[in-house]
Amino acid sequence: MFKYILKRIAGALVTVWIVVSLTWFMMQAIPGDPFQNERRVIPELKEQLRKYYGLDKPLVVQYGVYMKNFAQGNLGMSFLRKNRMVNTIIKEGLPYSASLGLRAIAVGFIVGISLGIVAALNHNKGWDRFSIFVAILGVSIPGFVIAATLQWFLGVKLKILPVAQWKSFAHTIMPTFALSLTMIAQVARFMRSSMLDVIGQDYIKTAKAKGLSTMKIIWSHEIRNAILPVITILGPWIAFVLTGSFVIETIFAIPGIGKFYVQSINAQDYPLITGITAFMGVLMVFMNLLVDILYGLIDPRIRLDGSSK
Amino acid sequence: MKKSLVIVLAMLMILSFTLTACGPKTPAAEPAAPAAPTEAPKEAQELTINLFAEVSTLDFQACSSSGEIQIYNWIMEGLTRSAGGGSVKPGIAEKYEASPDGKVWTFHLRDAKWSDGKPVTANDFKYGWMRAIDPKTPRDYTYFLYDIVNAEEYSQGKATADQVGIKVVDDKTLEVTLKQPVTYFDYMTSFSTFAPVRQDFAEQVGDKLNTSPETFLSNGPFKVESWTHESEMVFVKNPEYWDAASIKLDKVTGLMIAEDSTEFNMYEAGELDHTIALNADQKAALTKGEVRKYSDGSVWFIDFNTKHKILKNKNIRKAMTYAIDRKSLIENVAKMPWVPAMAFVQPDIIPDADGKTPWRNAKPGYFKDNDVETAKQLLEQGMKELGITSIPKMKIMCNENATGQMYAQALQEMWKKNLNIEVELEPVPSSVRIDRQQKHDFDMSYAGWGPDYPDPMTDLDLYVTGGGNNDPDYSNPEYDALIKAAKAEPDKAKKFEMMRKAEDILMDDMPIGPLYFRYRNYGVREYVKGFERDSFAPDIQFIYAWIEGKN
Amino acid sequence: MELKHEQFRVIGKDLSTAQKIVRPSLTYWQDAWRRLKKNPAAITAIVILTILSLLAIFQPMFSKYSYSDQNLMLTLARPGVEGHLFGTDNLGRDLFVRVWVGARISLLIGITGALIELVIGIIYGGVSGYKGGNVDNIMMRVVDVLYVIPEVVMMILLIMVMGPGLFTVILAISSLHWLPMARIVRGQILQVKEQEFVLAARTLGASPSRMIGRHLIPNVIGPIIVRLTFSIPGAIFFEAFLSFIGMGVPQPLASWGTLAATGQQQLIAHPHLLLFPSIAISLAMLSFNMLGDGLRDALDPRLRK
Repeated sequence: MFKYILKRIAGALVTVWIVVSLTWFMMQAIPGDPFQNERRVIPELKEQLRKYYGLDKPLVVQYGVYMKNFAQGNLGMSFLRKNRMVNTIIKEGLPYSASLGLRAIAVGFIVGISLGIVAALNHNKGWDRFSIFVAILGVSIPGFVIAATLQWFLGVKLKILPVAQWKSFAHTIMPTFALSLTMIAQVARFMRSSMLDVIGQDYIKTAKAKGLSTMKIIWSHEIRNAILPVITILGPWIAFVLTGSFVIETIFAIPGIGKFYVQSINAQDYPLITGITAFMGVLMVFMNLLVDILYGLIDPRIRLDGSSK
Repeated sequence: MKKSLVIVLAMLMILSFTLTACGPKTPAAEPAAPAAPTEAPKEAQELTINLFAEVSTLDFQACSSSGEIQIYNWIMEGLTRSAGGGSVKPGIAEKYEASPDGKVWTFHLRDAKWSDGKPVTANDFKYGWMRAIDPKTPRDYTYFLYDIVNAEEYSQGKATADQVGIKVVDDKTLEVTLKQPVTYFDYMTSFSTFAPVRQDFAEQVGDKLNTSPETFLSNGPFKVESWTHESEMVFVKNPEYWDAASIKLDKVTGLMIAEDSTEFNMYEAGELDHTIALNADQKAALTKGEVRKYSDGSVWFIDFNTKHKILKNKNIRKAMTYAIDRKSLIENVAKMPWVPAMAFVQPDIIPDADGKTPWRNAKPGYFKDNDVETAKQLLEQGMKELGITSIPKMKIMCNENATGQMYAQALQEMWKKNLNIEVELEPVPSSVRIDRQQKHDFDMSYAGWGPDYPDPMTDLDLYVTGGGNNDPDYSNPEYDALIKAAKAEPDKAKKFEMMRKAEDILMDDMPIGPLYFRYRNYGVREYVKGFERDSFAPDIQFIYAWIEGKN
Repeated sequence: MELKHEQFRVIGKDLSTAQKIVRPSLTYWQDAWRRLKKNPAAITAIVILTILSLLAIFQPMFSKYSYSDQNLMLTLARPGVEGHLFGTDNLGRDLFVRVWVGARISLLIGITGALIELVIGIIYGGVSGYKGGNVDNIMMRVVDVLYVIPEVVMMILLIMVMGPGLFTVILAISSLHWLPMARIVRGQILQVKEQEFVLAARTLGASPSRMIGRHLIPNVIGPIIVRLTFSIPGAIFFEAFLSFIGMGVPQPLASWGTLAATGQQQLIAHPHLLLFPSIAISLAMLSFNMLGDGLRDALDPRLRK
């Protein structure tokens, strides 16, 4: 078990290293210049600035410096926010993105699981179709359309919720709902097929034969067993939503880190985008690892010895 | 297209602006603050505005965008203070004068205090200015100080600190020696690069200077109360400000709302007192009293790459310019309060030689809007000159957002319909656009320019050969000579005559095809009094504003 | 109870009855289709998708307007004004024809994206699963690494490097989209390849490419098709996102995404600009998803009854 975890961590480190390097080199390939302004900076000064930020050195050297700092947990200074460290930007933005993401996951998970259960228990009947239809409806409309419509309708027209920003519980309702929609459909579907799987199993027949009540079968056998595989898709989801959603954060003016995905690339801010990608990578790898370990602990059929079969 | 409106940046290009007539200078009488109610206002003096986005930095010596300069203007005061319309009034300096040769400027400071109660001294200015040219930390606008003796040398490590021409005579007197006479040096000192910084405080907070409320020291009308990065900044009245009696607002909240529709929704829901700009539909949704219009000072045009195999021909450039229906673009497509531009220098805000009449009045335009007939003739002539029978497909670079692409498409269709010229869109993010413009790596580009100071030179200076902002790579020796002569000309009438000739040449060669002068509608609550927008940075002016009749 | 011999009677054997096939013999596909037909949601989806595709193909051919024809005298007309069924946009272009040209582009992006995903995913996953051992290990490690790259970052970077355009958008969207497909294919192949018929083919000396192409892939096609019906709407959605950040298909070309993104900004004053493209997107998304769900049920052997 311990050896397995060590091995996984080593693999994770290599993964992060490759991802960071890939992002870093791709950023070098995009056109543009970080020291750019509508009013032109004079060439001599631009040279001085490049030197100051170490951009005058050969790429390999720059890469070496970056990786050395990275290994020490220093993601460097942002270009977009000149006097702020990338570490600080992530540290300050993360709580907002994470709070939004976790709420969305909670809502998405609960609603999704419920719809999935209803669908599976009524397999091929009206309720099945209806639940799945509701679930799919959420993913059928682009996020920005839903967000903009909600904002106008609930915020301006009915004036029952604040239009934007992230300050009180009321502020969180619309963004949470808008973000959870994508999740609902996926969870509902997954839960449904997982439930159907379980329902067909022999031990359910046994339980029925033993004369257990339907409620008890559904609750302690079907749902319990069906929910397990659904947890596996949570790992990547958590990593995904923790790092924020560009669309929702932009429309609701939430100070998370999601908006930097687009902004930092547009502004040629190499340190920021590489830092965020790296952070996301670490989070993703870590979440997957955690899910695997948890899964192994919950489900005795899976052995954590690293062999697939 | 949001565009940074930086005050004095093009100043560099007028470094050679050597004026001989430069007598002692007495500052103009202070413009009176708007008539404020005499009795103490009863309502909460609080204002909520939109800052649009988090600033890049508030290290004043490094500030460059309009947002940063605005905040500087709210919480700080330099030797002089911007007074709107591109003019300045005395700030921390009570009075100042230049030597007869215009090279030595002496500033006399008033009794002003920092927000912690300690006095503002000449040394604070010297320390701040030396920071700006510190060779260890180059900043984008370090070169603003290059007029000062040995400043450039020091910033490049070629001179020592004590050789720089900034001298503290005593606590209340600062003496600055310039390399050459600069008549507008008092204008430059209002800019944030020339901010005072107190040494003991700066050394105490180190790198963290001006990054959180505790690391700010203000000497201006307001001070920073809180700063939630990427979300909001709260400013409160600074009781230690020397002119605190003229400041009515107690609290100003600046939110950071980048999405245009979100901003408007928040204004409609009562969560904002001001919107940065309104489109036609938004304007229609508001009551008349809260909609106001101002010139944001910018002129918009098409950059023609004068080295392009087709566009190197001036008749073709002219044909493309004449064939545009500006009126239709403005009224039917953009639905904005813009004014068609058939010339380069902006109307209303740039005065002629007499300092009063707008420069544009003497010659409103150089050609007719939507002059398809002439355009066709010019095109034919141009093609003959080039020896070609058809125009190959060309590209226009434009902003990637929906409106940027929309305006460019309207032009695309006009060229196709009127001249049968195929033009393809190249939507790119602004960082890419600026970079490519600077490298002259484009066919055509949809661009704009805002003035730095109220003089035609702020525009005309762009197109001298090799100029930093000469995106079309235009070069005409006659034009260069006129601009150079105008800068050196002491006689104002003659100088303006030369500039007029320069604009004539520019509009004949047409390296840029003018489109429109941009005016904007914005919303501000009727209970907010004394709130102004300005064509010159800092755009949003509320320091003397007050709230009246809200309830 | 007691059984007596007299109670029984010999009736003889009737060969014809014994060999009569009561349940029709169906191939895998016939069976799947039979079950899909019983799913009203999936059938509705097929009908809607057919209608959408037909309109996308033919409407622009027969419309009196082209998608790029501007009429600056009639900008932002309401639906129904002067024969413009869906109204006009900011440049006075007929929104009806633009929605169907948008359908062409969006469906093209969706289908091409899915095809690219299919080809790369099948080859990559197929080789990985078939070869097994170290090859499989290395190939799957690569997939693991790519999985960690945020898709959004990758797409924007690619578009920035290659410049805007329809082709770029398709490439950017498919750049990482094939990963799940590769995993699915590999997993299926791993299962199937242990079965007897594969062993038989191998014994008979079939080449690896024949093995993968003829024996393995056809046996794992179910999950692949299901995945495809989900990746088409996925690609359409990604394009909409790219449009929202200004990196979609360059104008005057239209996609549902660019149309909706433009409309979103004018939601209050000109709702028709957002409404029609959104309805079109939603219909397509719903249909693809319902069809996918239907296919999954139909193709899943476990649910066979």
